Amino acid sequence: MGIANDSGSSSRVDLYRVRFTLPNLERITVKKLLTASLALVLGLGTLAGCASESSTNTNESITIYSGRSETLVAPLFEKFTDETGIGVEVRYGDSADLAAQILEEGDNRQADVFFSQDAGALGALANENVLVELPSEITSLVPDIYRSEVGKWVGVSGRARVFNYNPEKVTSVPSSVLDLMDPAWKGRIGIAPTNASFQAFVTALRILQGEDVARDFLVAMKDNAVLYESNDVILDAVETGQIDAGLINHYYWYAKAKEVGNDNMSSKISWFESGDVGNLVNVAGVGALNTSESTLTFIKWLLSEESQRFFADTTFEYPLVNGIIQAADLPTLESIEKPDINLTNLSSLKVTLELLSEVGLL
Amino acid sequence: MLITALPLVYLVLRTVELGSSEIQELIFSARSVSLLWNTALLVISVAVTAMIIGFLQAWLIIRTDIRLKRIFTFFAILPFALPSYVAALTWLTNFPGIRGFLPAWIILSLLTSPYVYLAVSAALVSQSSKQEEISRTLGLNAFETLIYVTWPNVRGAVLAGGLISALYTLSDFGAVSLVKYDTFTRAIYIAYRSSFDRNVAAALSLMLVLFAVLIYLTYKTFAQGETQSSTSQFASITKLGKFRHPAALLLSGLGFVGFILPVLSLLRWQFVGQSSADSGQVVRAAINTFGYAVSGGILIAIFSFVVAILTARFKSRFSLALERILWITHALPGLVVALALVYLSNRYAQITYQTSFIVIVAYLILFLPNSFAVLKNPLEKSSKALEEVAQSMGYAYRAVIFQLLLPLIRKPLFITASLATLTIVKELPATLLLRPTGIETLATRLWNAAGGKEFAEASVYALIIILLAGIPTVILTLLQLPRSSTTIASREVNKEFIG
Repeated sequence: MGIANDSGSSSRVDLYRVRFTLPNLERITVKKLLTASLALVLGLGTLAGCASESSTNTNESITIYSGRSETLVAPLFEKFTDETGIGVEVRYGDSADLAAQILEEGDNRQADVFFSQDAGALGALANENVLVELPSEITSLVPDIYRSEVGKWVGVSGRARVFNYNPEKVTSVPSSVLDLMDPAWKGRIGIAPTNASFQAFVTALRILQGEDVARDFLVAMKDNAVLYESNDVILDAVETGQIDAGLINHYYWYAKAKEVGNDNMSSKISWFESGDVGNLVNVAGVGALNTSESTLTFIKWLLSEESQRFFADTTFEYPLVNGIIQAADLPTLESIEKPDINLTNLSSLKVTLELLSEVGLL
Repeated sequence: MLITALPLVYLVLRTVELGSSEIQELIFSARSVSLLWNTALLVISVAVTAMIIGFLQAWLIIRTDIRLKRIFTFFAILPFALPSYVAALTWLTNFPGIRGFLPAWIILSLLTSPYVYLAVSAALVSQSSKQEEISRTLGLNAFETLIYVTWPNVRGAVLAGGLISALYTLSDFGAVSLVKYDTFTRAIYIAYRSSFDRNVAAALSLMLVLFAVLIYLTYKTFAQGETQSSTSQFASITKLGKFRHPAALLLSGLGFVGFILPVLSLLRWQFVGQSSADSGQVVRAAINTFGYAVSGGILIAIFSFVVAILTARFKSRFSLALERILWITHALPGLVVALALVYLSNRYAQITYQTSFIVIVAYLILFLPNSFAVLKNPLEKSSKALEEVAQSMGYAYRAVIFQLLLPLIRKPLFITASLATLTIVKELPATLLLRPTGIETLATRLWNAAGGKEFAEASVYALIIILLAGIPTVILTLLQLPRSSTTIASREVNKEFIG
């Protein structure tokens, strides 16, 4: 194509530009520009480090990796600083993400404390020998089923898996979570396979009843269940009648009931028969990465009456320290006929995830 | 500049730890095959759609007599201000329950079309339209001119934009995970976060890298034989006639679903939601985001300028390798780059871990390829003769760079800095993992609020991100506009003829 080739005329134009524009350009301007840019970069970089959320300028401070959300625990941490004078730096995130990050940090440890939403993540870190042993005066505050056997972590608050259902659609509560495998439940039951609490339940199922039962259950769930992203979305779906029932943690129901009033709840919660794996009680807990005094003070403080009451009253979780009274409406933790499982074993999350993805639920 | 290769080093180290039998098992598993298929389907569909949308927008706005050009230009670029997770979230709130390929395809096509638009409009503005004028006088109609004359000239830009769109899709995590479409990135994320087994995540990431290489090679095959064009500044305008209104409707529609609708949904949350954002936290997060974004943007502009000159003017094995590494790195999800830096800094540079420095390094690795892509095209199109003349006149090459090349690509350089800044404001995974403890940005605040289902609070941060990322977009847009207006063009013409 003849017309595409007009480079001759354009280089004439360029030549013209060279002669007339080059001497007019002040090199200093460019240099100034570069210097100014670099100064700005350095300045802003420093600025970005200034607007920190750190609570105080006390001498002593600890770093917490918190899998529990800021909205929930930040007020608690502030109280801790007010009372003890120990400042806190908190890195909020998902429990599993933070556990993976702590593992990745290796010996370059940043966190003093890991506050996890689930015993599985704590167990995984304990297995990797990242967590240090806590003094027995701390661990003995909590019943031994809610802490690590070797004192590597201790539960702070308890959460029970429950069967959430619409009483108009579900007249008799199934006796076992495994009954949900029946085709009669097709399209009626909600689960959240990406949610850590559901995954911990599957891990428990695997450990207590074997891989085959767990696989069969999940295959049936793939047919029967409607998949949701989280517990509270399931609860909403049951409340609004989109589905008949769901598997959630107990406190979502109580929090919702507090918000809208008990009488306005259209769904109920219930437990399966005694010892059923569907009644799993998991904990949110802490592990320490060192035994410095501030670290231990913090963990001890989380198990103090004040903090335990905080969880009971704000999140409707179960306080774990002996003798502390739970929120009024809940059945007692002791009365829940939970399955017999060592929470440390929930750390084998990896196998559970492989199973979930093999079945196609992830 | 070789730091851009760091994530690759990490992936290889990690995958090797996995052992060959496990790797084989992973590659040939049914899951990998389905991941591969899902990912390929999405990447191709999104890239093609984005190329069509972006090209149409650029052509209609720059080369036709359509009205409201300024507004449509805004519409074309504004989706840039939406992080993919925010866009997907708003679609989910408007159409509850959508999942799978269709929503992922629509969302990502709308989000990545601005890449094509920018590349094509830059090419259209700087490209001579003499050829088009000639073709019109030779009797070809507007459509034929578009196909036979305009298209071959902007093909390179369309493909370059399509390449970025494809690689963006390949590395996107937010949108695909929210609409639950199973691609590589989602699988990597799941493997990393919950299994405490980062070797599998690394092996999957390597597969992703190979995928990116494949896309790049495909691009190279298609992009060959690109025509050179001159640098003169005529503007020929196609008259749309009866198509004017349908065209305006099309552009308005794209702007509506691509930007206005998502923002309206976010505003709605302000009224229906229960949670709220603490103003002190908002201000601190905004300061941090601003600091990171602007300093990152400037650094990226400087680095991309250097790399663009290296690859466009000093072709060597080194510069070629550098260019390839840049493209490959671009396909890595932010999460993988972040993990690589966490791993490497903890082992080899402990003092840098969780500092603002390492955050900026992550941005550099992640976004240098985008900026470089913007700079490379105009630099390659600018005539080398100019520099040779300057050198023959006794200027050192350093002077040529500062006095000739820099002013020549001042505009793309500014565009590139703005683009990088915009993208950093939206960046999530690297900021999340690498930021110093206690430093929160708008994106990390949004993430944590959305994670806790505090959507009203999350939408506050989303709106600020859009606003903060939107302001540079406006500047970017205004800078693009005057060049295409006829008055400027005729002034240029006058200068050339009188001079």
